[in-house]
Amino acid sequence: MELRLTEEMSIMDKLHILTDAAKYDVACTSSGSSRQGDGTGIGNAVSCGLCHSFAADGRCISLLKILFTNECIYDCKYCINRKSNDVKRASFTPSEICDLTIEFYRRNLIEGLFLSSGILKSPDYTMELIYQAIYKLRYEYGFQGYIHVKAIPGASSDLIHKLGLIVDRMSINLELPTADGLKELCPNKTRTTILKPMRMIQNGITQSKNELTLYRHAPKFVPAGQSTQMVIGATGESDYEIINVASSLYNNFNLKRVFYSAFVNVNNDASLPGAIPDGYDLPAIAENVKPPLLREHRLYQADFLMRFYQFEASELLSEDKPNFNTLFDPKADWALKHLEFFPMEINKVSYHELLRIPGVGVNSAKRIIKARRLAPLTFSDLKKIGVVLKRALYFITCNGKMMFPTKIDEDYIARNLLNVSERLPEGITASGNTYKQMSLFDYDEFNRMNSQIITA
Amino acid sequence: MDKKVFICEDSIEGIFTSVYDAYSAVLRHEMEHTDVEIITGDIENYSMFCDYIEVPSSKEKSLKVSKSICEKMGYRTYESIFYAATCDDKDKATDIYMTIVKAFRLNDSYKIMDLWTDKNVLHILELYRKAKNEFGRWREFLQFRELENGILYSRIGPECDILPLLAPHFENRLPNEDFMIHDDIRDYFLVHEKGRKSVIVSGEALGDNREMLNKFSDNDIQICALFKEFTKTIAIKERTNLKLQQQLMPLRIQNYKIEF
Repeated sequence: MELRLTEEMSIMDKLHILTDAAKYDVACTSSGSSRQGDGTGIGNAVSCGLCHSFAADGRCISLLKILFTNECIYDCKYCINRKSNDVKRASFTPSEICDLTIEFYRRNLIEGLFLSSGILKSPDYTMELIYQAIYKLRYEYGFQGYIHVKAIPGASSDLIHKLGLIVDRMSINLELPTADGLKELCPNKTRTTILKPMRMIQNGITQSKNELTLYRHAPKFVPAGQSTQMVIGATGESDYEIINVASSLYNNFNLKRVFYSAFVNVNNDASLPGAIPDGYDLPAIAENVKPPLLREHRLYQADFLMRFYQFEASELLSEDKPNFNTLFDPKADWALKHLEFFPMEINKVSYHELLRIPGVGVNSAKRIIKARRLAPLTFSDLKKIGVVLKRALYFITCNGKMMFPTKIDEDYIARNLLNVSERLPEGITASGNTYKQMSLFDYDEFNRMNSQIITA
Repeated sequence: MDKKVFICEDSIEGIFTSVYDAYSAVLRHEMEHTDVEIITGDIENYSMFCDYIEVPSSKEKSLKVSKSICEKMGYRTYESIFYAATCDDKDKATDIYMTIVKAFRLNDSYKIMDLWTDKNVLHILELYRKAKNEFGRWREFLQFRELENGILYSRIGPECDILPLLAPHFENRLPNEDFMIHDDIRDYFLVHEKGRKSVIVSGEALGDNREMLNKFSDNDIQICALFKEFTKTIAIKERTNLKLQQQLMPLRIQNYKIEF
């Protein structure tokens, strides 16, 4: 196959352009695959995933996240690489990608390769190019580290299958949570072209797992599972719709992760939120238009509640209350609305119930279960175990006692939870049991006498 | 009864030898478990009413202790104790001893690391967590530079003595590379030669060749520039959060990295 090369550009320029174009992709974890090197090539994979550095936005740098090319025949409104944009275009050659990956990898700068691409000519043509690059990296360069590849919506099934056998993770971006939003912003993509390959990968993974139970050395298809991502805040859907979509992706498509990406209006497109009209002072306004980071954060919290804390999407939000509380995390919010379950006795309740207590995480819950078999737990033990007592104290008892005399009342607890600087409940400080230094000015009689002196 | 203080070398072998000696002294009814104190390294202050016993490290004794921990308390306990021993902490050896003693008192010694309510065990768990995190950090964050002679060289500054623990990971990851990792604080090297097992070399062995550690190949300088460009570009400007970056990668580690 003939390649369209842009030889005149230096590798530094290409890396700059194609990294800049890839930076909005969020799915860059290196977890889920565990593989020892066989001694002939280079690399291995660690199941927990490794982050080799952190960028200035606090996101991890785990994989060499680049696009194969930023030329694209599609015209998605939110994307910086859409065909109607006049941006500098570049493409890597397969050997450039391999060289970069190997040179970075042997210096322990990255954990593997994340390869995505704009769509050159057609989805199949692009997919074939990606396959060539990955094949070269795996078999000619002997790279045994982590590889994450984006499947292109609309690519043919045998290409996806071929590629799936040599990479660790594949993902197809859902782009927008609802089909209407997709129709509006991505005229060239449809729900079907996205969900079809997603189902294909899911079936491939199941089939490969079944084969592996029979034949130990059967080839593994996408061993680290598949993930997807959604843009948050570009269209008007509610949090409730988003977590329902995520929940059905987890249940029906067996996805490993769903990623959420706060929308940044990179194209200044007038039909999208955060656009700045012509004639305004751009930098000054851009300073005020921040991506919806808190919303993204709340969605991730809810996502973790669904994956690790045995919560259902329907428990967190409902049609009547479609958005997350900005003040409280979803778990504290749930607890405040369900005070009938509290206080829970730490030494008795099940693992499932422990996970519902604000301030108790998966690790602390597991530790509590193990530790209470050997000795009854007290509040000081809980602190050592890692429970966040300043949040948990309103919801738990140890051996039948609460830590402080607190009220089980929504307003009271909410007020105290928000009062982060003060660790003790309000009632304690107000009722004379104070930790404050005593002062003459607190004494009412003194103030009265003082005012008398002044008036006299 | 007088307290008995065992002084041993600051290594897993030294600590286990003292554990062996102390335990057998208790079995001979020479003292109680509570009278045992084990100190690693040099002693700073001597106390009154204490017997000081210097314990030379013995491979045989320490292997016996390792074996009985692995067999009677499980590999998880052994791992916790091993990691805890790499920390720089003055009570660690005594707490390791008391943890072993308390494990034997439990009906099921395998569960000793779940005994969060006990202060000795808790201290070992804390040290284990500290060392394990430190190990995890350097496994991720250490970076190699290519020297002029083609060897990959990395300088690290871990708070715990975890350099030997890094060996299996990097041996497996880069089997066909010559590399060395330099513990900057304790001044010793982990050296790996292509296709062989890694060895530990002390910093003195390097002699006058230290200069060569600062000379990088031309290719390396170019690759580092590319990586710097990559890390700079990958950050989304609208989401800049330097505080979070520093929280995830503390300054003491940033000092060892090429992109800062």
